[in-house]
Amino acid sequence: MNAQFKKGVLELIVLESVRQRDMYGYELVEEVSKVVDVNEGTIYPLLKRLTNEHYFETYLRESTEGPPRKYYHVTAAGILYRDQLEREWTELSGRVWKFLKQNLPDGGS
Amino acid sequence: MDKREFLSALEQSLSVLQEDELRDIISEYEQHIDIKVEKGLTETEAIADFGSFGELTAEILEAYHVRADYAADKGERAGRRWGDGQTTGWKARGAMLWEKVKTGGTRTASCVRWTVYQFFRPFAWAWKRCRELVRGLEERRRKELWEFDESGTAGDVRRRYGAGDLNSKGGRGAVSAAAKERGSGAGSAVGNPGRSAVSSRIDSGKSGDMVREAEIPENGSAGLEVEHRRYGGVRPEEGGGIESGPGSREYGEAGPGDRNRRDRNRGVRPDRRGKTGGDFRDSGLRQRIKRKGKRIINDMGKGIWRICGLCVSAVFWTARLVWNGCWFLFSLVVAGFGLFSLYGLGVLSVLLIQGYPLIGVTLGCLGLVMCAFSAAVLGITFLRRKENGTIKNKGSHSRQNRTEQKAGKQEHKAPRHEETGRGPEKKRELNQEGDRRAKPGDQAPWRPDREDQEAKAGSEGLQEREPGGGQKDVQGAGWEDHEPSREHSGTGWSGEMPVENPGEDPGASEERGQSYA
Repeated sequence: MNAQFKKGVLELIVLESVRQRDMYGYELVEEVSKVVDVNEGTIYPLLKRLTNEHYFETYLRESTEGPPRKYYHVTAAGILYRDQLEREWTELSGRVWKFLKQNLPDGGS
Repeated sequence: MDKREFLSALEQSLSVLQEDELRDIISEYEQHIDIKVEKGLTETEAIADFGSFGELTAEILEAYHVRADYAADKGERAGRRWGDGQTTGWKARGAMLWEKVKTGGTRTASCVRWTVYQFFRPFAWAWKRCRELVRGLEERRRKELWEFDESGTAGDVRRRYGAGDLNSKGGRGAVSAAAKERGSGAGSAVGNPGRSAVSSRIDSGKSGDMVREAEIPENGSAGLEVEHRRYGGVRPEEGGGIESGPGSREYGEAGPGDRNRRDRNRGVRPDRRGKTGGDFRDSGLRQRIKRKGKRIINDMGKGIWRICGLCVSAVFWTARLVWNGCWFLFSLVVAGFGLFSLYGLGVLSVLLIQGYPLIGVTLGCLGLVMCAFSAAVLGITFLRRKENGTIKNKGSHSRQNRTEQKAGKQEHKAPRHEETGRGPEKKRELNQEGDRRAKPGDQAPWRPDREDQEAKAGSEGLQEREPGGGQKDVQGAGWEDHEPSREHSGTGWSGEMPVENPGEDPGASEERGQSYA
């Protein structure tokens, strides 16, 4: 899949995943990998950016499997941002789909 | 690429970020790798899933609104890349450290080598010089002996081979060579057999050893007889013979005529007998070598002794410094305390005068002041200073007692000399200064005047001397000013000490006298 496409929707997927439940980094990578196959290394920078922009907040939770893990929790601003991204994605994908439909040879759906 | 290297590289690339942020990022990636390793992947595989290192760091920096190429430039400047096979931070550091260690070790080794070389250099030079000297003397001796061979006679063989261990290889060779020589004919010059014997003696290092003439085999007696005839017919066992060297008189004294004849045959002038080669050549060379060797060893010994002396002096000086420093500090502290107590005493005295009942405290303070100052003075007395080559205590006796002691010694040692003006060959140690000026038979030796000495013992100071002599009383030392004079009274000399420099300070003279003691 085109890396730029994946890059474009990665933020939305991450926000949606964390909105559903708080996750730590590795868990989130696995969750996103189910939707799109992205480079794991790019998740953390994204998480860091969203955290810096106050869309996420972090906390540590003790783990029985090792050291305490940092969990991400979406903030209210993050939810608003996620909704905005969803609207934009819906609008964009609709237009692109419509555009492609018009130019299809058979003109069908 | 393992986890440590990756995290180190990441840390270096993101060093522009704040410390807490950097730690946070590093811990997240570390945790991610650990979880993957727990799942069954290797560290390398886990790291490979992160993708390109450069893009990773660029995205992270972009999240902080930092230029991505900043990290790239920084990473390039540091010379660290990930995933392209080049050395990483740890490896580069390790290589640099190893280079520094190697360089430092090389420098240290060269420094140690230089130090050792400098230390042993004088010894090596001395050894080399000794060897050169011995070789030079050896060569010279050989040359002289060969020259001697040219003009030598059969008798020279005897002189050359003195008494020695005939059972030795060199001795036997010398004897057989001498016998052949004598058997071949009388008066013949020392030819090749003698020369070979000479060379064998030289090689064996036993030249100069004496050979008893009586032990020479009989087949050489013909030559021997001729030689005896030449030298006045006196057989060695009868007391005739040849003087073969200082301290090695195996034979009796030869007559003067014999000796002259012998020397003429050798080409030695009678007036230079014993001064050129011939009899004394071998032993003279050896003695010279020995003397020079002894001199070198003596010099080296003196140098080493001086160094040892310096080391000991340094140790004593340091110990004295520490001792003096400690006692000086003690005195200083105690004196300061004393001053403080004195101040307190003053305050208490004022209060006491004003009517406060502080008599006891004031007395106590007074006692404290006295104790403190006494202790300070005591500490000062413990200071040791060096005076005239000996360590003296500052609180020891003054010059007075030293003078008394010296006067007592002089009185005990000094003899009474009469007017006969005997030379100062006896008891010169009493008048060291006078001996320099005194001439044998010219003046009588100095002796201190007992009466003056007893009268003036215990007093200090010196009266000023007049330049040009004259007799002045010198207090404290019992010495009297004196300029060497040929006149003397009938009672003999009375405590006259010559003045080296008439115009000099008396104190300097006394110090000189003391230093002699």
